[in-house]
Amino acid sequence: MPKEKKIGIYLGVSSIGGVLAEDKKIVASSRFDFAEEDKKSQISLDDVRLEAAINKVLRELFTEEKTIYLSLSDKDFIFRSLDMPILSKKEIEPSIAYQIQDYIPFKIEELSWAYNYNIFKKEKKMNLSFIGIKTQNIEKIKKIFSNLEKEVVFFEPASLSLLKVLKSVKKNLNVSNFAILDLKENEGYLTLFFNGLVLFNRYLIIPKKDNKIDFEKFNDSVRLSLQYVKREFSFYEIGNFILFSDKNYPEISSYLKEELQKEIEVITPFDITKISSIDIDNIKALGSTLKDKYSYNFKSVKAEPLEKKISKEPVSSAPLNIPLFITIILIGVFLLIVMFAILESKTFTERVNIKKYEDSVFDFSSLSEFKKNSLDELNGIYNKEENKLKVLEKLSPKINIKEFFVKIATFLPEGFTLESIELNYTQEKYTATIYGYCYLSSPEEEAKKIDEFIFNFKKDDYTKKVFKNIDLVYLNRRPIGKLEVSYFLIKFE
Amino acid sequence: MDIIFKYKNLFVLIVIILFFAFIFNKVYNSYQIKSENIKNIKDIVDNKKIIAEKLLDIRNKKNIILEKFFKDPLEVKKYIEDKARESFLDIDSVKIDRRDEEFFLEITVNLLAKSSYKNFLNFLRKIEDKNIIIERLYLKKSDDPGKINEEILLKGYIVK
Repeated sequence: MPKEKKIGIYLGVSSIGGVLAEDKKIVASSRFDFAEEDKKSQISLDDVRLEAAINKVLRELFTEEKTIYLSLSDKDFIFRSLDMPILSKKEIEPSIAYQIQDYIPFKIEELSWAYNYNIFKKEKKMNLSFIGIKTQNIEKIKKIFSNLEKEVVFFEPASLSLLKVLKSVKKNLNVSNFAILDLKENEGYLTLFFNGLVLFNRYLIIPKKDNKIDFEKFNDSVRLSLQYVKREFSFYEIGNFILFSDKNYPEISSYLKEELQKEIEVITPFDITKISSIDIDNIKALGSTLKDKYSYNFKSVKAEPLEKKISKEPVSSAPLNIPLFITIILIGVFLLIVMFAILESKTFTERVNIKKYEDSVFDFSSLSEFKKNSLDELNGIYNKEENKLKVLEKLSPKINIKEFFVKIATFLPEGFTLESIELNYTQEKYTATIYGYCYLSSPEEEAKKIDEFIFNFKKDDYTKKVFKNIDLVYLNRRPIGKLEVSYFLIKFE
Repeated sequence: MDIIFKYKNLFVLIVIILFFAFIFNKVYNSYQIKSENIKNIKDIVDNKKIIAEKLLDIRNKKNIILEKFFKDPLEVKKYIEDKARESFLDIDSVKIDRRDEEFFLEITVNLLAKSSYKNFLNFLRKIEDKNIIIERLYLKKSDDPGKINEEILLKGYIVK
């Protein structure tokens, strides 16, 4: 199966590099340097000459491949490192959009951007690396390639392209905290990586003196950048320092060694490709094609709408912890059984106690006959018995009326004769009349005795209880034979 | 859905806990209902005890009252006649009547007699042993010296 060939293009500030790569090998390469006068005229990306230069580079690659992997000068990008509190994935992007506006001179909507981050749980913070490019610029470049019937399928900052190449050839490269000084005769880039993410990137102009590099000034600008990093990111310490350049610059490497007190590793394109015609621009172009095989755990910027650009990371999660669940379920079932047993035994004990109590109340006592009756039945029996008792009480004489007749005999004075006594019982009350006459020495004496007879009843406790009213309703003198007597009628009610 | 997938362990754990919480709650509620029922049973036993004691009390009272009641309708007339004779009442006539009620039978005895007042009082004292109500009584001086004519309407009851 033939290996896939890819066109990698690097668009630098003053040059263009192109490669046709197969796997990580360069099959063909081409490059284009802008003439001095072009540099002075400051060629813009939409310049017709840029299109012509790109066309020339592409033609020299002798390939019909249509897709382009693009590495762009770091100068075209904005790099920002942000320290943030630990946020959820949903919270990160709105937070970036809010925070990054303080660092860029235009609206975030005008950018195509990407980010990656590291979480430091101990410090309860996250370090986020943001990269953005003006969408307008990338669209212009895409249009140029489109005019040449090519399609840009991928682009990234050159520092990341370079990193991928370095990583592909140097397997033992410590990509955690390290710096790359990427240097050409006309331009240089200092990139610092922190835990694999871009912490800082600066474009360095190469100062010239008598048409030669003014190393003193250049070293000053590097020193200033490093001082800035030290000041802004006090926690950061450089591990490896790589000087990547077309040739060895001992003036720079020795200065850096002295400044940083570290060994400086110098790498040239030849060290990587073993091809003398390959320069840094070609290496960067090669790096852009290594996207698939040597992706550097950093989301590359794509020229897509913002919402599409933010790729969804696959949701990672731990597998189902079946043993834990089984353990919890078993513990739950055990506790359930224990709880059930305790409550059931409690209920059982309560039931037994009630039974004992019921037995103690109804057994071996006069109440035993009612044990089998329900409460309602007992209430029914009780009401019936109560009614019966009321009837029986009603049918029982409450007044001992014999006593009344004893009282009559007791209170009856001499000279009195009773003609009749009448007694009636209605509505549980007695009424009575005593009819008779009295014969004494004088009518006054008779009247007095009759009054006395009545008075005796009135003051008697028994009579008072039985009769509320005792009245003399009739008193008259009438003859019996030759004698005049006083007839009387006393009513008891 | 991603969230659920990512935190599936947590979700499963929550589901298990909720499930057990539900079951525990059900078991405890069931216990509470049973416990409440047992308490109700005790209340019922207590109420039964109170009513049964009151019922016994009523029955005792009723039995005391019933002792003075007649057992047989014929016994009423016989008892009154016997007591009248024992009290030396000269009986002219005895008429009886009866009436059925829900709980009892009412026997009315109309007694016409003649006796001394003392014997009449004796008669009243003798019939006190039984539940007899003097419904109407009319005493009239008799032509026979020392005697009175008595017309007495007495009521006796037989409990069904």
